[in-house]
Amino acid sequence: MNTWAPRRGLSVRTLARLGDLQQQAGNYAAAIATYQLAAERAPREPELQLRAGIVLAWEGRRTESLAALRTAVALNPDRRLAQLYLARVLMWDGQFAEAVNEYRRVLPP
Amino acid sequence: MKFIVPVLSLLLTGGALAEEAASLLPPLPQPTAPKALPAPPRDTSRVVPLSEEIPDWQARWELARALSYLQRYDDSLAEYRKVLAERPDDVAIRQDYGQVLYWSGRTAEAYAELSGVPSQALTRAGALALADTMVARGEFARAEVIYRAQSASDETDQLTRLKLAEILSWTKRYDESLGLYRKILEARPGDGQVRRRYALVLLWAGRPEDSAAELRRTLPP
Repeated sequence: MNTWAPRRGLSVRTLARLGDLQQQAGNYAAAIATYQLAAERAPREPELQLRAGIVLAWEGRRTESLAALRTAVALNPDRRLAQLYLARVLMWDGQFAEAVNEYRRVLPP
Repeated sequence: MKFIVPVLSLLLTGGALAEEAASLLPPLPQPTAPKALPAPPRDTSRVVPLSEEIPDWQARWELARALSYLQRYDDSLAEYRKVLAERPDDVAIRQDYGQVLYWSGRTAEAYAELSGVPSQALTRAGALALADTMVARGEFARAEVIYRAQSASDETDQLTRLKLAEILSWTKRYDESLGLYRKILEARPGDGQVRRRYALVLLWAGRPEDSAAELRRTLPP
């Protein structure tokens, strides 16, 4: 039984913090559920998509991770960390050419 | 009586005088109602951004690796050089660079780079790449030491065992080489290329009939 189930009464900010604590405790599945619940309520918040994308990748759910990270980048194209994690997860997924494009987008020549 | 009136007066008005005197002192702190806790942040406030950052050198190292996996070795090596310009003492990056030099066919440069990494800092992949460059230079004895150590540390690594078997056969230690080939073929009985090499070593070892029998096994009936 997942005793870390997110609570619907919490604010988006508090849910994000709860997700961070769950992630730091190594409870990635619970963290993902918490971030996703927060993202349902704040779908245009890029930081939630970024957090979900990172932890989804750590859980090996790369397709979902890439979708979340692409959303994070679309919502905030200047967020370097989101772009770099997108590049990383593309690489972990064996999509090397796409990863190279993402790295090049972020790095100075 | 003349003095009694002022004294009585003083006694009677003592409270007022005391009050007047007290007013010259700082007021005593007054008990107040407990303050309310600060209001929680409003739900509309933004989610706190993650503070983690990935430095440029780290991202460029990852880019260099991605390029090497795409076999774009020249591009990869160019990125590695930029990273090493920033982190010249990072042995992990240096041996990665050495491996890519080796993959790109720059054996002499790869050897120079990998042999400069302290042996205790070499990863398994780095050590095996160094051994490969030693073989390319004809330094079989030094390569053998590395292959033996790495083969012993991973019994399932048939490729390293094969490289060791080849060195042993080139240096005419056929019995030991054939023993290793048999171990490889136990693990990979359907590998026709390994069996053909095994057959060749049998021939070098003066066992042409056994060699022919092994070669037949690799051919269609």
